[in-house]
Amino acid sequence: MKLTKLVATLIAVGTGWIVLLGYFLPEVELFKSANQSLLGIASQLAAVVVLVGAINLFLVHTKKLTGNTPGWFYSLFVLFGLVAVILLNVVAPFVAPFLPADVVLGVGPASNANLFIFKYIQSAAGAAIAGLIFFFLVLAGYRVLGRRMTLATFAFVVSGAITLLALAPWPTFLPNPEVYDNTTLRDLLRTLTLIPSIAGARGLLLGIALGVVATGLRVLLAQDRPYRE
Amino acid sequence: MAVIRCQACGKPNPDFLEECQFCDARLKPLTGMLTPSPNALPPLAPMTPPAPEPAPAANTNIIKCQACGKPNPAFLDTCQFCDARLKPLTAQFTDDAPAATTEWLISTRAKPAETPANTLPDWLQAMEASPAEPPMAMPEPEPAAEIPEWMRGESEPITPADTPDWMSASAPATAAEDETPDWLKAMQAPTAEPAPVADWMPPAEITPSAPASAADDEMPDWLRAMQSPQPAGEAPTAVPDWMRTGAEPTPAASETPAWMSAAPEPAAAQEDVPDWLRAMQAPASEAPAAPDWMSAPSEPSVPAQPAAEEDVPDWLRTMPASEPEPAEDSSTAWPVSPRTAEPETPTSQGADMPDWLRAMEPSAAQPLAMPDLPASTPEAEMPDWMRSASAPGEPAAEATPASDLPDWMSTLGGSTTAAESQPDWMQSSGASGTPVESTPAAVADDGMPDWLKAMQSSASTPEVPELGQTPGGDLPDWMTAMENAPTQAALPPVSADMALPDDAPEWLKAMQGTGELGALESTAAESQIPATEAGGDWLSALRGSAAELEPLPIGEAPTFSSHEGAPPSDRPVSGGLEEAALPSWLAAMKPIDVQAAPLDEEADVYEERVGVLAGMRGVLRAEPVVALPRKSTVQVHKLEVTADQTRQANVLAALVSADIQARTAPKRRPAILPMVERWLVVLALLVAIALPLYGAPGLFPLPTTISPQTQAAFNTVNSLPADKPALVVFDYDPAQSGELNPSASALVRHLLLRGITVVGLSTRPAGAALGDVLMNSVALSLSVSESFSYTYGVNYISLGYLPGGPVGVAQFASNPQDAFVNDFRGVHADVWNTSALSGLSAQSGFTLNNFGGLIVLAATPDSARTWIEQAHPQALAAPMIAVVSAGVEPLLLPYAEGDDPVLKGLISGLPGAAQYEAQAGAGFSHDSTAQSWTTLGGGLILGALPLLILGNIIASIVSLMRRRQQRRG
Repeated sequence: MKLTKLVATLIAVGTGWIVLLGYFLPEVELFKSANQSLLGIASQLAAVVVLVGAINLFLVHTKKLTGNTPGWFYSLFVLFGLVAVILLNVVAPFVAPFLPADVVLGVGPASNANLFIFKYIQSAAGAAIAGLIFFFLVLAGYRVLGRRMTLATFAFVVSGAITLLALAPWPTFLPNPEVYDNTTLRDLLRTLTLIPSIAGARGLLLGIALGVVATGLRVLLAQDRPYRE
Repeated sequence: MAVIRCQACGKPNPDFLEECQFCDARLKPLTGMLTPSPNALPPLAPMTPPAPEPAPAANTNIIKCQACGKPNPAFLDTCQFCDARLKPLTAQFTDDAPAATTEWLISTRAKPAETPANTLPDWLQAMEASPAEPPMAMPEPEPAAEIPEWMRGESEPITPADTPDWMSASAPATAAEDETPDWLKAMQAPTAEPAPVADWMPPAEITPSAPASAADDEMPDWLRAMQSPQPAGEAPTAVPDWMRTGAEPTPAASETPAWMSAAPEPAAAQEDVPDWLRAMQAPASEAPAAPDWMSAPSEPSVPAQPAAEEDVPDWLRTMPASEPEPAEDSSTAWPVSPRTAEPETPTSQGADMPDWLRAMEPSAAQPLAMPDLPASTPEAEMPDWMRSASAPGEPAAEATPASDLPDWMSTLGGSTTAAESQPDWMQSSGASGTPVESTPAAVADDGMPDWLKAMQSSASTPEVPELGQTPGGDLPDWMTAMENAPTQAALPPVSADMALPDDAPEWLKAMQGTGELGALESTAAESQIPATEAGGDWLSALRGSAAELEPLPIGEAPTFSSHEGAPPSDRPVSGGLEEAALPSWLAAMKPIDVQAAPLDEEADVYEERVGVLAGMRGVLRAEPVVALPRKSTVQVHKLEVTADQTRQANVLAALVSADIQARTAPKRRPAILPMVERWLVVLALLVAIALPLYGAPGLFPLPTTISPQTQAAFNTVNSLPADKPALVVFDYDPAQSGELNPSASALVRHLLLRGITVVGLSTRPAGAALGDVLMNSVALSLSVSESFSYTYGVNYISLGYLPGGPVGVAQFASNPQDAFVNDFRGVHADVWNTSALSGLSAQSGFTLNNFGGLIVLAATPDSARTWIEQAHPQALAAPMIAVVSAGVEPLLLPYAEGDDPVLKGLISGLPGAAQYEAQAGAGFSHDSTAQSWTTLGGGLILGALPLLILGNIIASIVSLMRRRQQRRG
């Protein structure tokens, strides 16, 4: 093992054990303060990562635009929005005196300009994309058996229909009879929908928990060194 | 790249390597380093000047390997470390090669002090014991008319004064020297002090002196040949002086060399005469014309002892029986000289002697000064330097100063001027103080030894007896052929287009068509060599070329041609005649690499380019064979395709090609039905939403019953303390505002109506503004409807955005004052000192427990759970109420159910808001809530539910009809 890898392993393992001891022994001020310091460093590094991500996004789309690669036109919109937001936040304090009194741009991320962009551009675009997802899901369900008629596809269609009936607002024209002891049909359908899903979700969570514990132990014991690469 | 295989390990090596890459053995012999080894040839000695002091004995017992450089004992032939040869192959030919002579000389010089007198060979003991009375009876010299001139010249009586110094050393020793054997002391008697030993003579410690019993066995052949009886009458006068050491003084005793004459008590030493010397005496007594040096030891009174003949080798016995050959072969002197002697075959020994030795019988003048040349060596096997030395020509001593001569040559020819110029070994053997000029006949005026001069003269003298006069019945074939061969005049003319016999050498045959044979014509015309029958024309041509060879100038070192190992066709032609092939014994003397069969160079020139063998050649090709991709060499079998298969393949290819071709998409008419259907759905929804609102008011009445969670929430709010501010968390976005705003408005209205200060914040950036707007609107509505004045900062206040998610929530729960400083609007710099929050700040260390209640409005289950998990432990005293969307209700119900639930109340969606308003009374009813309730009912019950049911029924019918149509169709 090279020296650099050894040093990296020692740092990772030591940091992990210190943070872990800070969790289990919060009353020990040493571990607690060390835990806080290490977490603060990691949080600040994450903030820098966001900045680095923004710079990388700018470079990638600039390269696509200058290289006339497919989709360069959309990159143009991305770069335009990035530059506009930056200029708006940079120029706003300087142009505010020259604006009408009722126009307040504000300062900071919660300025009126940024909130305007967020509310009327970003939020609207996000909602539209979610609506398109709804459309594509319905269309896909509509063509499932036309593309492939198998038992799985048939079960998928049936389960989808039941879920819609169980979770969707129940219209008035649909009867909701009582099936069993104050249990209506909708309650029955909801139960049929949630039981398999919740069972699957719990199993998934157990698996995730076991995986997290195993991975944590491997990292703490230097058996797994993802920082090596 | 050529590859050389290692002589030691046999593995291949690149040719550029000097040593084997596997065993470090030397691959290439040190051909350029002709340093004399202990067994080196004497002819090589002149190349190295003699050193004054002998080599130390310790070094002579160790031979340093030429390949690995490690020391080895002297007796080893090959290196004990790398198996490289330590000694040249010449050591294997000690019986025939001149190297044996060197060894013999070494042995004679080796450790003279340690050699007892009784261990000396018989013949040496005889020389030592009876110098005065020669035990051998040498034959009488023949008339001068029958002797060649060079022999006649040498037949003059030799006076002691003429005896060279080294021969004078053979005189009886007056006093025994300390370090010399007795026999050598006798030879060095007149010597005042021993002369330094030449370097080329290996130290005596290497070869111990042989015992006397084995003296004959270790005696070189050439010396044995000399010991055989010689025809005294044919003894040439050109015998070198040192050869006379073994001869009895001639009747002219004054001419006997000093060391010979010093042999005392010949009668007493008669029994010590070696057998071979006795054998020499018998024919000497019968030889009328023995030379002086031979006549000296051949005392007539000493008969030949038949018993001694058994010890004499057969071939040695047969030497006297040989007939002298005519000295027509003038190419060489020493082989010719015996031919010039008169054949005087002893009756007692001629039968056992081989023919070729009989022919050498009269070679009493065989130059023992060249001991490295055995007497039996044929002419063709003579090395070049010997040929050049024996070839007729001008006296070389005149042209070459004595100082330039090698020592051994100087001692032969030009050493007469000064004793210092003599080789050490000659000085030691002769009288050092004797002037050379005193030698009358042995040394010519020009400084050339008599024997050498005689050889030259005999080679160039046309008056030599013809071979036809020699009874060559027992001679070897080649010598017989030489004797009987006609002279050059009788030989057929040599021409370029002459027909060669079948037994002609291949190289001579190869010359036939190249014109080189014509060159032989000129040389053969000048030659007096008779063409032998067995040798054929090529031999005669060879002799002719040899006749033209100029004698090697004295003082010049004999040059060894580097082409000796090459085939005859590759050798340079000297004087129009190609050199003869090297004799086997001479070829064996050559270095190993020359003798080794040349390996054919490998044609592989690949050079490895990768790996550890990069740059090397001759390696296996690993990369091209293994690594580099190549096409598979596996032969693919041809498929047998039938006609039907071909047709089907074509159809398939056509289909594939048609499918590849682009098709124009058929124009589809826009589906109208789906579009109409879509618009119909939108229209139905609009109608369903608008109908209850405008066409049928009251169609969806407000709920008359209330859920238990909603009732609990109402009761909780109704029970909150009025003196404590209530914390309302707006954790939802404008997209969920249509569902949550009615509940939020009802709660805020209820709080404000109860006089509870409302403190708003949000963990979402838009939630802070949304909460601020909602509180402001409720306050305005209440001020209008209830005439109450609710002021911002007094009755309600917005803290703004709380970053950090769960961490921020935890920090805020534990210490709210650290999370915020000012309010959302920025009006109050210290939000905790405002009228709305002054009651809290007055409490030291206040937390969420200081709030009267905690109301969480969350659109997502995570936000609600975060507040439940992070804030509830810090606000156990403050009841918590959750207002969530209808879809989140199943996830939060577990927190709201039970005996002591975390959530003291839960308001879910628009129905919960309606129930809450209904529970609160008429004053809490909000028009927007009733309108939303109606539109919600209309949209779900009149719009969504019918469309869901009818649409799927119709779709099912249509689907069934299509299926039927498909079944019918």
